[in-house]
Amino acid sequence: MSEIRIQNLNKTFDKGAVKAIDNLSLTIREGSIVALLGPSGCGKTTTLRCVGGLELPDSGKIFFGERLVCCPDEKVYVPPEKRGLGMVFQSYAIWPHMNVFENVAFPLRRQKIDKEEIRKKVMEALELVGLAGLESRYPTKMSGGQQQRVAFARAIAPRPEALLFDEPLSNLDAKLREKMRFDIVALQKSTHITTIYVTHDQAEAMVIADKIAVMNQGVIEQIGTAREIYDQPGSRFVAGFIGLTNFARGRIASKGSGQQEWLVDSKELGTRIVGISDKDFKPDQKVTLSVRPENIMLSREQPEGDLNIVGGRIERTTYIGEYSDILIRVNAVELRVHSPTHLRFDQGDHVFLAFPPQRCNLLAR
Amino acid sequence: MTRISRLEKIGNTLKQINVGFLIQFSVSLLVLFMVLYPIGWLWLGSIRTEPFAPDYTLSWYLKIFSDAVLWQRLTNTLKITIGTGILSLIIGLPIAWIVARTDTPFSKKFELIAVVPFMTAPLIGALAWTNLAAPRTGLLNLLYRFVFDSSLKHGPLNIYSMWGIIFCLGLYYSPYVFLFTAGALRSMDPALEEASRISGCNIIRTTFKITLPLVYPAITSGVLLAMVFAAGQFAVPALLGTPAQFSVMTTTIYELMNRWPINRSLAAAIGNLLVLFTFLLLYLRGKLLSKGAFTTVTGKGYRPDIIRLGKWKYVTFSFCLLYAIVVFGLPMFALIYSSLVKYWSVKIGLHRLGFWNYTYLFTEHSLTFVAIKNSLLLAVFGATACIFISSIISFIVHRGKSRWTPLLDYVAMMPIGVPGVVFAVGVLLGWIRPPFVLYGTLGILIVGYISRFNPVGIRAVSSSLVQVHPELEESSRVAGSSWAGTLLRITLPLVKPGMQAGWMTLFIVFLREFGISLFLYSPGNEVVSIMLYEFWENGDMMKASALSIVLMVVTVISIIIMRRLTGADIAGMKS
Repeated sequence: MSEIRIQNLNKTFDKGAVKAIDNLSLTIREGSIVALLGPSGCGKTTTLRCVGGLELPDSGKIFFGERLVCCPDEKVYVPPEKRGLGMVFQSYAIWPHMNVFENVAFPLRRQKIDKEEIRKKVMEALELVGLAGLESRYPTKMSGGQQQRVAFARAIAPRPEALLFDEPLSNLDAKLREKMRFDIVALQKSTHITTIYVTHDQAEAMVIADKIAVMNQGVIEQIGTAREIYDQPGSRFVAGFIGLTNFARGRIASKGSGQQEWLVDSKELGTRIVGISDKDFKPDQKVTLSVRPENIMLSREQPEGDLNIVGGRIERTTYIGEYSDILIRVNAVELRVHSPTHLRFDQGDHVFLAFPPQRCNLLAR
Repeated sequence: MTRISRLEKIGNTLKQINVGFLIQFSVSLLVLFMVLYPIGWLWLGSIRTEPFAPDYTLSWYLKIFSDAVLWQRLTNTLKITIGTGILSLIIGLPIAWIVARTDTPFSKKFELIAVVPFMTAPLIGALAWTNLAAPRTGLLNLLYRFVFDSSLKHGPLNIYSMWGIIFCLGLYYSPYVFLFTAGALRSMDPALEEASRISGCNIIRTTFKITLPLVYPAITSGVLLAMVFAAGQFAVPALLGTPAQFSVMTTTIYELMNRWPINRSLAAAIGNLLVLFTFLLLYLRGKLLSKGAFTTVTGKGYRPDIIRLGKWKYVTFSFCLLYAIVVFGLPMFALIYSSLVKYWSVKIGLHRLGFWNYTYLFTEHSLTFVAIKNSLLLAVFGATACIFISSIISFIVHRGKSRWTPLLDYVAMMPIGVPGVVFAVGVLLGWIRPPFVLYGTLGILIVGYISRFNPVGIRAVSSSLVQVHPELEESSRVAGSSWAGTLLRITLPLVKPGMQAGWMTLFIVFLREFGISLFLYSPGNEVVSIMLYEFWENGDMMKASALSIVLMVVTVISIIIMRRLTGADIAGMKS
């Protein structure tokens, strides 16, 4: 169990035509679990495969603790079988010609331990994933969820340096997927194995990971806890990719009174808005305001004060159950608002929208 | 009351009978008859003292097991079958792995060469190897003796032997192992191998512990298929075994049918034993495939894991090159050379070459045009009729809801396991006497071809039809189109590629067909392969070679024309 350090990793495909990973650096602390989250083609799986040794990067370094496992410039390349890892694949990759026991025992047989020890470790691993008693079954006769558990057991049985997950839940149905998320967290917490988890599902990343690295076009756009990523997205991409949000363009007017507060003139909204950002903006700099639907307050009467309040007209309301999804035209833009269902609004109503300054994220453009 | 309802039932059934049903029903009956009738005659003929005399006996079967000569021929068949299986594995498996999984240069080109044996008939292959490795006159032997040891009178190679037969058959049936294995290697989820690497196994261990066990069903299925075809092969043992007095079951059947003392009942009995043997092999194959068909869940599209061989790629390249030379280069050279010399001589020189043999074929030998015309006629007409029947059977088998459809499927596919010469014996017995007299006409050849090779057409059409989801047809019916309208406007256009590919395959098979033709032709109805065989029997290798070249040229030109017209490929040969 060790820390994984990725330094300045680069990888191109098709002889340089496609840049899969662009100078990526990332450290996964010992015993923690980091999710690589992003749309397909963002380079998350390629990054994972470079760590696993299944893909050779063009340049950069990968360390497991103090051990350098990959550095093309120094002609260092430790093949996957010598890296001491466990990996769970999207397709499970359970060998159909072996039964459950043989599958889980397979990585153990390459270690110099005797048969009794192997048996003990396999049983332990199967116990951990809740498959005790099924060791003589053949995986082709098992359900997707069970196969998934076999794959987990095989990955953790040799107590690897690190665990790599490549979208392991994407082939399961929704109910099972939700349950398995918590099982994976419990498993990882009980074994304390450093883990990289690749997914395109934000809810999955939020449940599972200590830290989420949001990737786009081979670059990590932002890394942080689920709360940080959601509440303080660092870029327009992150704000748009994680959850729903509304965007409005504007220009910086001046520094606001509070910490990290800025005044923004938005022609699209037709008003001046107070928002927050930890960045240092210059006057007249172009910015994008991002505010999530559930953070906009709706009312019929004009609220007190005149800051961060605009009027609009309701275009469409949809009752979802947990909330009402309301589309409102404000000046030149349409905004989506999630409003409590006890407040009844109808199409055509004129309403006031209030944006709490702490919920208005300003993103550089 | 019950009577009325029964009458109503019959009336309702009659109402449901329409044109579509009638076509399906009559074609089904026709196919059942065309397959079961000759096979029935094989069995009936084998348990009578004479095929057409109503005295029943089991003595022919007893004779096979008590007669030392016959027993030896049985074991000879067994030997060449096993030998072919092993050799096709030794050749096909490495080529499959090299082509599908390594960065060996030009591996895509080798893939094309690996299917060459499919295109050239075994008869022509055997002929080419006679030119190359006949003990006295074979080109390779001449070369060896010229370079190393001019005191030798023959050898060192002797294609006229059991080993020669196994060599030829193994070479020509190795593509089955190659195609099946390469396909399995390509469609395998690479994560299965990556999981093994992550688990601590290097490439070599992974290949033996994971890759090979996983493609084992495909390998074995290819080997068993090669064995089935080897057991039923006639041309190769006839050409290469006869000079060495090495006989197998198929050549024995031919002798018994055509040479004094003629014994057609014994021929039928031997044929039935051979069928039992090939069906046993096919049964094993079916069992293996149903048990070992490993399905693997696959997510995203993946690139197969290509192994970088480094300097080892020169070794794999050499292996492929050697294969290409042996399977394609040498035989082609031998045929072309042989077709250009007037007299076979130990001395080789350019001034001896000329077009004598071709001139002879096209100006002096009146049979040439007749044979080519017959072959083309049979190929065009036979393939067209056959694909029509195959398509209807395929449609019934995949869309029919009757409980009889599995039976129809089984019977229609049955001839694939019956060796051509054995099937020909049944066809001959069945269609030579009233009520069905076709012998002496081209008709019996067409009937023989269609009944024997219908499975090839069915397979080609079915591979297209299974890709057409029934919902496509159902939505047409819901949109107001009739059964026939749906068939014409939806189903047929969608399965057209399969039908075209099937037609092409049948056309090529019929153009060079030999095993059945040899039993069913009569003077005036010769086809090209028969003429070729007659040249060879008269010891005229040069003219046989020239005719082989002509046959190949005609085949290639036909393929090009058909591809221009339809853009179709040959079934199972799409790259």
